[in-house]
Amino acid sequence: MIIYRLEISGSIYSWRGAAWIITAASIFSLVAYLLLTDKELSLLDQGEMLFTFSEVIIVLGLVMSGINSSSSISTEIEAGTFECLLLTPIKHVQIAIQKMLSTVTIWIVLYLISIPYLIVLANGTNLAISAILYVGLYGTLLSIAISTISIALSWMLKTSKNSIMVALMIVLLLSAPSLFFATSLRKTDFGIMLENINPFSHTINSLDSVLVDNQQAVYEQFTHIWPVLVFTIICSIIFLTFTRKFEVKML
Amino acid sequence: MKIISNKITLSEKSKGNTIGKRINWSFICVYLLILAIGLSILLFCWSPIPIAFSQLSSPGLNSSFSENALRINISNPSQIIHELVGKYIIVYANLNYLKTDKTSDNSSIGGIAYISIVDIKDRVPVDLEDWSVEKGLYIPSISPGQSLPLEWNVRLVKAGSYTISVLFNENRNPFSSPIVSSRINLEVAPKLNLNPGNVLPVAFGVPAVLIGIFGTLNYLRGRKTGVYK
Amino acid sequence: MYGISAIALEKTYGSFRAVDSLTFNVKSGDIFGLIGPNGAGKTTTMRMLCGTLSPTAGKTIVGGFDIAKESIKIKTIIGFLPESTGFYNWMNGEEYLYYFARLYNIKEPIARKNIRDLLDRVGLAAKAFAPIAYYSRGMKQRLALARAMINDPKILFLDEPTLGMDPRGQQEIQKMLLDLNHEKGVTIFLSSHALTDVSTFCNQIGILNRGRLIAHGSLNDLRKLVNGSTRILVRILNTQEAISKLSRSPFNNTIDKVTEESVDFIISDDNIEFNQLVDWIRKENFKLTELRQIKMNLDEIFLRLTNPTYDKHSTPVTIKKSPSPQVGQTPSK
Repeated sequence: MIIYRLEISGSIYSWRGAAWIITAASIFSLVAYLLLTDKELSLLDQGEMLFTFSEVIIVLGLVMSGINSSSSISTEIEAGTFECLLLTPIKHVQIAIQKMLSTVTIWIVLYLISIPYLIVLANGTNLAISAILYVGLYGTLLSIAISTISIALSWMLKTSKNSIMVALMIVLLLSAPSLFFATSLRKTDFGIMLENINPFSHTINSLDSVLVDNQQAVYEQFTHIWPVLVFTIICSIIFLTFTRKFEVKML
Repeated sequence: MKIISNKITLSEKSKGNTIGKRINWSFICVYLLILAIGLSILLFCWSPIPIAFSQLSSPGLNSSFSENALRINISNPSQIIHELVGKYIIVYANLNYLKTDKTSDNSSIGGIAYISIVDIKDRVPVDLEDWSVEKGLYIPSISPGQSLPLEWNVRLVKAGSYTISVLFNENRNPFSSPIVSSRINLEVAPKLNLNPGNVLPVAFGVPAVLIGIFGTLNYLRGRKTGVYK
Repeated sequence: MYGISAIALEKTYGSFRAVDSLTFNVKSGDIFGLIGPNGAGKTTTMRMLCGTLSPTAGKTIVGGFDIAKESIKIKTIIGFLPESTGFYNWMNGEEYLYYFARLYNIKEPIARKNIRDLLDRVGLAAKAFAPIAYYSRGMKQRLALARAMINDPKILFLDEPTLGMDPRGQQEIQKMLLDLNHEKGVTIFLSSHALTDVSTFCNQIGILNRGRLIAHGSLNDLRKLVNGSTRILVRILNTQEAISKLSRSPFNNTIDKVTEESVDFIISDDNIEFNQLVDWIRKENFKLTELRQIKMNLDEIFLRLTNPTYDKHSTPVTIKKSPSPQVGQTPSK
């Protein structure tokens, strides 16, 4: 786990990861503060508030995982440090796994930071533990999925600009149906099909069902959990396939 | 004194008038009653009129109203529910199939029972997306004489005044009118979640602590590497 | 015993052939210099030898291991200094080397000791704890060299090892590498544009042009290949008489240069021709001022061999033929 440790130290000392965490904490503060102090927003039900806040956590986690992991390989390639790593007797896939774990660790830190906010927002309801557990579950699964697919892309595309753009496109494609589609479009066959195959939609629907509709039992959410789990497994398989062998770019 | 005399005057006036009106109205009411009975007999005895009714409406409608005798009603103990935003209420209802003839094979019927909430102030029906998980309950069959208890968990999303009614659409005839219950009132009081006392320490504290931790770590490292003397 | 063997190595990118049928051997303990014009395929060749680039065709055996099958084993016995190495600028030199030592699975106490020795060797001991961001170009090159040697490699690949260094630094690094070669028998494979350094430092030289190895051997072998034989400079005092007699002599066509003071002849070290010229000078009583052997330097050899017209008529030449190496043999010290 030498590379993993280096990545974590680098995240702190080069301010790369630290900047993400401080930015995320500032956004959490702003959203939580507005929800609980703005007169109109505070008329929202607490379940709605928690749901909105959970969406913010998940979306920030996804964007962070996408950008961080897609640049983790390509920036090393561009800086010329990756070739030295490839010359060490470590399997290429191990390098990729350690890079992925470091991104997921930053997500976990981000998630841990969000817990005090969730507790404050859930004050006086029975939703605090569910919010913490479900945000943790879905956030971690999606963070792994996005990190693995972004590292695989970074591995193939080899440039930061391209890999970050493609990773952001993936995050946007995943979140678009839930965040941007009108309800009428989501109710069409096409919309329903998209919702059924989209892990992000399952995550949002599940959080809605847990926090707004008070269906907190795991068995009630299993229909939403398994598609996210399958998506994570598919992304991991793609990741393991593509990161087996790396070739430096010559031309 | 003035008031008393006024009262007396009014009472006398009304006495004379009431007697006169009683006679007139009694006569009109009896006349209308006889006319109504006569027309009813005429309508139901004269064959073309029931045929025309049966052509306009389906046999299902006919049966559901006249023979099936389906009734749906809200069985909450109070006619007015007062609750706070964010709370859950349960709307209880009963679906009764009053027909007692169980001989026919097609006597049991099924359908969908659903809840309708109307915002009185905004004069619009409420989109139940966030209000209730089960908007409609599918009832595969209800036999004659059977009574089905139904319930809806409703989350009170927005403050305001509402009416709640439940409806039943039987599935044998797609053109039949739904059976509607009587309404009850729902008064949802707003709840302010203003809670700056709790959020302020977290909102300002967490970023400050994080900046402190990362700053200290980098400062200590700077001291070690000679960046900060 | 060969430290490095390339057998019909080939790398193509679409229709472009970066390396073409490259076959050569480098003996264990040799210092091999690969030279060639820009874009000749030197870096591609080095990367294929180190295993960071897969060849389109051919085979590479390094330290007795086939790189296609045992790349991890090869990586434990080689060190590679790429032409442009990147650094984690937030680290200091000591941390950077420790990180790579741990990647090579070197135990902490040994790693710490090796790092101290290496930093001392490359002249960075005083700056070991300063952030790499504050290092100069030359210092970074020294650190990269230390990194390439962190695993005590048996074979060292160096792509432009003295790039960005001052002349003193270049000398120090060359001395360090020579010591490493003499003391530990480390095989060194380097690529450089500093041809003077290559000619003094390497005992074997390969010239690569347009992906093909056009010459391979010692410096003398390359001289022979270009010139056939060594040349001799014969210098006499310039006089009126000498000029007039020379114009009628058979040695007129061997005159290289005429100045106000002297007349220079350049002739091959063919004994007959040289003896005839010396006899003639003695007979005519001219004053012989200088007589020395002229050796062609590597720059001249390089320019001649990489000349496009030369390339058209040449085929890859290996002066010393050697048998193919055996897969799985461990490298000799």
